[in-house]
Amino acid sequence: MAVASLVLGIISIVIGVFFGNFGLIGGVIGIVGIILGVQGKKDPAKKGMATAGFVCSIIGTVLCLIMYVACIACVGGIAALA
Amino acid sequence: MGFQVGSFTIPYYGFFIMLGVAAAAVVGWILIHFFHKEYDDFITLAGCVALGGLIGAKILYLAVSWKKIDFSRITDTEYLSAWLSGGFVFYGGLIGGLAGVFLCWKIFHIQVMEYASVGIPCIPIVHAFGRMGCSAAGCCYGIPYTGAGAITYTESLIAPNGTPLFPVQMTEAVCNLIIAAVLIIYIYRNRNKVRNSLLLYLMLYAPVRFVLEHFRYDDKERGIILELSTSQWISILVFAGAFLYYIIRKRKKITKSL
Repeated sequence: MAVASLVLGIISIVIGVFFGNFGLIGGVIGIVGIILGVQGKKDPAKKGMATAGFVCSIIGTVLCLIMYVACIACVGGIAALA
Repeated sequence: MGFQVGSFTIPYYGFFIMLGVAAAAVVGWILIHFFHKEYDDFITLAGCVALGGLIGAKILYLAVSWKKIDFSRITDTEYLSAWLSGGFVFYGGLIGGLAGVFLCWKIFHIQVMEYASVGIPCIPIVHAFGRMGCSAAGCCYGIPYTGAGAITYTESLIAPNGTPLFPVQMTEAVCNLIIAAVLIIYIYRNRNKVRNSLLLYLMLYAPVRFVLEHFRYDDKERGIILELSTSQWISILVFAGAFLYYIIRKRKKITKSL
């Protein structure tokens, strides 16, 4: 879980920095990384790597979603009428 | 609409939502530690809900608009990214969020209702910051109004520019912060009892939303059914459902005690 979290965290950072249009995918990957990082911290042997994965995933999620998130109620409403 | 940081433009809405998530994480941390619960489990639950909500809202949006998708162009990255960033459907997010709660309980064996009843003030906190983002970006705008606190947009892409409007977004933000404060006080006062904080949240927010919908002016963008907006119908259903559930639970308790 710790390794997976670190890998997903790095992928989400890369998506957030270089492929902003795919923020949704980066956000989903980042959130999965956060969950795995938190669960990975429960194993004392891999706590360090899991914490690194957790932090990378948070940074990646923020980078991806800060550019991507729009007012859900508004966009949903506009989409329904389109 | 956003502000510049170097060569980057940070959208107001995303910025305020992230501020809200940070504020909610701090409040959640305080509440979870006060009730001697695992913060890691709380983060896992929040992550599962966010994940389910995000995926559910997007899947339902794609499902309702699949006829408009040109599958022959799906390999075109610009076309694909336009669909991925095209929109969300609230109900999909709600169903996805609930599925996330269920999966969290099933996979990680976390007592989700215990955590939800303690961490519920985080939702109105994030919502309040989201509404501040709406106010800054100019979406979800209010009716024309010239009294105190009126907002006049000059370069909004969504709200009518040059017309003083009722600050409905900031009003909802303040109401959400008050609801969060009421919930925190309620949770603190009932720290040794069974808490109905989830029901209390729903029963506080639904009437607020119902009333504030009358002050919104973006009806064309959201749809009206029988003189009421979709959100007002949802508010009625949510309030009725929460109230009925509360009454049924109370009756069961009385029957048990007899």
